[in-house]
Amino acid sequence: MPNLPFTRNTKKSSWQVGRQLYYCWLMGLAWIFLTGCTILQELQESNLKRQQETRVRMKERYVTFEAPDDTGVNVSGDGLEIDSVHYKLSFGPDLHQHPDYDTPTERQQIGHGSLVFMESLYQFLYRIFGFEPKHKIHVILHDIYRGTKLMATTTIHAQNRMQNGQIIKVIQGIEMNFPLNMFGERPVRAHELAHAFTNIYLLPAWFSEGIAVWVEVEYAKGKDHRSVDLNEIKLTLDGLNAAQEWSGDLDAGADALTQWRYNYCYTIVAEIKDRFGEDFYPKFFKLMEEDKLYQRLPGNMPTSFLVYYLSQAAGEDLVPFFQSLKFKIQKLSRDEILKAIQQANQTLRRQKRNDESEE
Amino acid sequence: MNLKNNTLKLAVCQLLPIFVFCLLYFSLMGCKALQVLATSQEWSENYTLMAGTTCNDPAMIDGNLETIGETKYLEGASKQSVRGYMVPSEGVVILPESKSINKLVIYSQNLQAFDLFALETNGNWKHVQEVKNMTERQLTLNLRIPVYTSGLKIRVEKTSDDDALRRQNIQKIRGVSMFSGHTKALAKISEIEIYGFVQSPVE
Repeated sequence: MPNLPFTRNTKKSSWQVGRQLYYCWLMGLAWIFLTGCTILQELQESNLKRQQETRVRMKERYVTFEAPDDTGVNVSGDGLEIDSVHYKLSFGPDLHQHPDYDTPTERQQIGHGSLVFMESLYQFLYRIFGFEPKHKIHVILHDIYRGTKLMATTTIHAQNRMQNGQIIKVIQGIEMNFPLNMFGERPVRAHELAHAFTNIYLLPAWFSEGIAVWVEVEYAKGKDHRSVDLNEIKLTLDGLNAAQEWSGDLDAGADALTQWRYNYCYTIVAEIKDRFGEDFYPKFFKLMEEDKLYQRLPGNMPTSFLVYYLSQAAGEDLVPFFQSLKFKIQKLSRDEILKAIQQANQTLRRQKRNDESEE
Repeated sequence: MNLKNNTLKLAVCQLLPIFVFCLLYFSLMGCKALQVLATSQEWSENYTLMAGTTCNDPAMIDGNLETIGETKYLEGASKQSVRGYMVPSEGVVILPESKSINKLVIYSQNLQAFDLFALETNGNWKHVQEVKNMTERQLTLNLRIPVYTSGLKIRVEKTSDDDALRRQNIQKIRGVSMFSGHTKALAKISEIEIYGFVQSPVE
């Protein structure tokens, strides 16, 4: 009997210990279950994130586009002219006999498909620059263009007009010419479309090519050009940077410096963007558009005028940068630009009066 | 007796929640299995028409058989070289999310042979199937093993336009082949459609 309390106590104690162990075991199970769930959830999230990153990488690498919602494509009965929201596509005479384009159905289907692609590319460039040309772009396809299958061009048709006693340049149309061979190349299409977007500002040739190659290489993933060392400058006999003197016209044929010029001009454009950020060029073109002084400039746009706007967009003077690259430029003020425009207008008006009186 | 009762009580108390938990688990799993068994499998909508799907030529995924898109040459090798002229072209479709894919339908007027690849999570392309003799304009490719992926790639091996292009771009001068352009034509594809299974309850 004296042992009973002790026995009872011992029993009670083992019951309590058992119960405590059981609760611990249950809690441990719950903890493992909950932690397991969290780990699984985290794994799932990281997997989804990885998938998302892979998709973005692949979209950039293969330059894929969504199908545009509304291309507004209108195909003519003979398939020789196809219109969409931003383009007019036509086939050069030498394609009318081409085995792939000699029937209306072939022209309609391939032409329609091409404009779906071009409309997507248009949106792609619009996102890069933040503006678009006001005119429809006329795309003309050829089998052979200017005697070759290796040259595509974009021409901006501009005309001088007198407005309020001042001469201004007015864009009348944009025309892109491609041999079929080059129209199949996505980077080439992107290059030419970059010209169609930016050349409405009548840019100096070196800068225009730099911007087009920049789009071609960095966005359309073209491999024909690469960046070069900015300090390895090719000079003219006058000791100036050979890129600045470039007319960009390849009709006379490429010379020994052509490839270097493309690469060098692209490197300058890319360098400026890297220094001043992703939104630098949209900002630069917005400044040009707000002022519209480019329309009133006499002759071709000088690099000093271009650098005036580049400096404004950058928020710092870029004249020393260009001078260090052996560009022949000077720092301009707005007053100096306006004065030059005024003087040019006076000269042109005087010439016009003289021409009229001679007649 | 008392001790025996307590042990029994303890065992019942410990085992009962586990038993209840297992019962609940199996009943839930059983429900799920029954649900799967009680559903029929139907073809999904065409995944390429999902918002956010992209392609390296969007004419191939615009849902319009009247528009023809073209595969694109691989960028890499210099174009002005024999290697550059011999590169194949590819059609790439990226879906906005991963899907289990069981069927592909390709409408093309010149595609004859191609390799199909699926995008893996690590960014590699896994070879899925080789198609060697596409003779009809419409090819329905039922995948023996479904692939779970967010991207498909068609690498063009042969088109009916290759011979003509080679005649045009390769000239033999004194026994030496001179290349002046691509030797593999781009595949003209009107549409790529991608399908998986969806479950719908049996009525």
